Amino acid sequence: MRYFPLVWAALWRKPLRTILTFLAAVAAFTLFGLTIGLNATYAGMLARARADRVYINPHFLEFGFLTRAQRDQVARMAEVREIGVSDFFLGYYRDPKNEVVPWFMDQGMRRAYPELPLTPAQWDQLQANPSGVFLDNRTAARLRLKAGDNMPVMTSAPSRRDGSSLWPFHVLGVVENPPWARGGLTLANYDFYEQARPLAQAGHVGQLTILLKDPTRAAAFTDQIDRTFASSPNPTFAVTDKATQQNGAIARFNIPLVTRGVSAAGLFMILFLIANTIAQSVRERVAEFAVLKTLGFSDLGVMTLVFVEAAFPCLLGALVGFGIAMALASKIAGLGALQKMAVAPPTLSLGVLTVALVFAALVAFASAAMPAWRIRRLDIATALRR
Amino acid sequence: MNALRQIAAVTGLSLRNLPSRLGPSLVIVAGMAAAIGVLIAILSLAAGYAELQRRTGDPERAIILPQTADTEGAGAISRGVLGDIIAMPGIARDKDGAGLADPEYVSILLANRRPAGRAPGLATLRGMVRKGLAVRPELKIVAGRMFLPGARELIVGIALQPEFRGFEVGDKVIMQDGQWPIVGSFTTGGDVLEGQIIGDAATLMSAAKRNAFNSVIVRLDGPNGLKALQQALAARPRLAVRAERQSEYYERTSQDTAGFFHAVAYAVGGIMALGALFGALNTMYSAVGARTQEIATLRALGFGGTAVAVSVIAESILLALAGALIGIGLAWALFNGQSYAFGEVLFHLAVSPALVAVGLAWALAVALLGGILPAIRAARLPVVDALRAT
Repeated sequence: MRYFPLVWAALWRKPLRTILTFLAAVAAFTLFGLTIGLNATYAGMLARARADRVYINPHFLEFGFLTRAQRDQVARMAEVREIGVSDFFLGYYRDPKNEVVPWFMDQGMRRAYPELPLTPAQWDQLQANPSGVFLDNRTAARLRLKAGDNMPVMTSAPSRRDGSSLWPFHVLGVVENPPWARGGLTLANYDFYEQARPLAQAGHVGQLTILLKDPTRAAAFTDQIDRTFASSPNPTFAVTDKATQQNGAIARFNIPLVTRGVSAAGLFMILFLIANTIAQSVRERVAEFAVLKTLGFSDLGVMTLVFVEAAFPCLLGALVGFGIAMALASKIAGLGALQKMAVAPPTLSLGVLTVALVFAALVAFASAAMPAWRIRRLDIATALRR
Repeated sequence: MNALRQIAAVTGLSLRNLPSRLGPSLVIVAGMAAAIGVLIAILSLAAGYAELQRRTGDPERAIILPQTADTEGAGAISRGVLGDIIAMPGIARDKDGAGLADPEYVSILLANRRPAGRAPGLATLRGMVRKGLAVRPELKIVAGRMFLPGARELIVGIALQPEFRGFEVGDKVIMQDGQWPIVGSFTTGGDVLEGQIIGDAATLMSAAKRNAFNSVIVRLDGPNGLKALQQALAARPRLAVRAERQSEYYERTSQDTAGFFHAVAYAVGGIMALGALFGALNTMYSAVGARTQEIATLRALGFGGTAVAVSVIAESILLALAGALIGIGLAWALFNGQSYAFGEVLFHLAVSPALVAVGLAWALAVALLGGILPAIRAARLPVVDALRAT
């Protein structure tokens, strides 16, 4: 602490230089916060993926299908704890721009997909109202719908058993949007779908959601399922929840690569700037350091002075940059473009702040190392003579 | 002395002194290299994606979709109306008078990515009519052979093969009704189809138990073909289909993604550029500081303030452009031509000449902003005080 007045004086010797260096650090750490925060978001999604969950899809997502018999066969397997059936189609509400993807779920999904934001009472309500749907608040806001509204949905395929392509849903209620479903949710009744679609498709199953008794068996279980049905009329493509999460935005944008590249470029930019600032500052004050050494400051002491002088704009810049990143993240979370691309906003957690501060300290250390070493080796007599 | 010669002389002097200010100068170079490198790297994603869509959309072709469908994936056109559609005016015809049309069936399948252990991905499976291949003359077989009409065979685009496992010529693909062999691989000169799997539409549809095509791609009959076709379709409302120029279709359907890439690139590039600007200001102020005596001497000799100011800005521009070129070069070396899988769309990143221009323009803007205030200070330097300050 006794060094502080010295560092403070050094920083304000050339205020413009200090302020500009600090501002550049703020810019770099704003980006650092956003990019590392985005990484944290996706790491969180991966971490939330349930190790005991497996999805069984038809090998051909669109024209393929599974059957009721396959569902029953899988349900009897010893590894299976819970099994749910779900399906969806693409449609629109009033205008082709208002895309709607009703997600039809049978009652097995209650336990196989417990993250669904429905209370037991709402599940009962959904079961009792075949054409009812629950919307999340995001979808409800987008379509300007509320509980009690009718929600006719048009599709081009599949049409209904009676030949019509209009599905007369009505909104039972609006539920909170869960962070894992940024694109929104339209939760519908599977029995209604099963009974309304063309007879030729009756008994077809879109997707099976399974909870296993033993999570460590998930990968082996997917292989086993695919082998079992490989030469059946309805081959399967089973994936673990983990792989599915990986396959989302992470695979689409290769988020870790992009974010690491951007944050590294930002740090590289300020590394040069801070190294130069501190080198200049030290060069201008060689005589001052010589005096300090004459007064009995240890080598370590003067080196610390240099490091702290470099660390100050870095750490403060990291803090302010993190704050700006937080403000920006909450702003962009609501952007339609981001939701359309199913990109989640960055998570500016305490962990991300810690990483930012550690990197700020590393940048300061790396940029101050050379000048600090120079001051340590400084020959007092020569320096004072100048 | 005339003003231009003054500027040339002072700028030349300041640039010759540049090596003595190497450290601070590197700040601008490194800062701009990082900022422009990041901007161009992300823009190359947008450019590669746009280029792919541009190559796929041929203005001499039209895509016919149901009025209710925005994209081919959502389309359904029954076999029953196909004949009527292809008979419409505005569609080019071959020498036998048959319309150049390709009713297409589009589906998606799950496939295993390379290398083993990666999460599975989506691949587009497209059914075409063998005769309809005349609509897409750019599709050329590079290995094996074309699928036979009515046969349960597939051909695979060359961009898909490096991304997914099990799609080499000779491999078999599990289909709804058994295993279909891959009999050939094809190129289209780098459009969307090159990342897709193609088979006979009728055979695929019978395997899928589907009775509807997704879209009809037609070659237009001359520059007025589209108008004629659209008018004819409008006069037959019971067909309930509409025609759109294929180039416009791909532009429209890729808008959201392209816009998103641009927004990310400019947001990230903008923050980086702001950081680089603070670095540039810092460097140029310290350059003016280091040149105090030199500038004062020049002013005492009769050089004008403008010449001095211009020399400062010129130095800032030179350093920024050098940095930008390094950044663009790095982005080019690391990313140009890299393949990228965006969902089921496979494309190559492209650092195009237009992007180089964007990068240099940004660098120029930052250099001007970062040079102008220090330049004003240099021009206003009080000569006597500066000369005295030794």
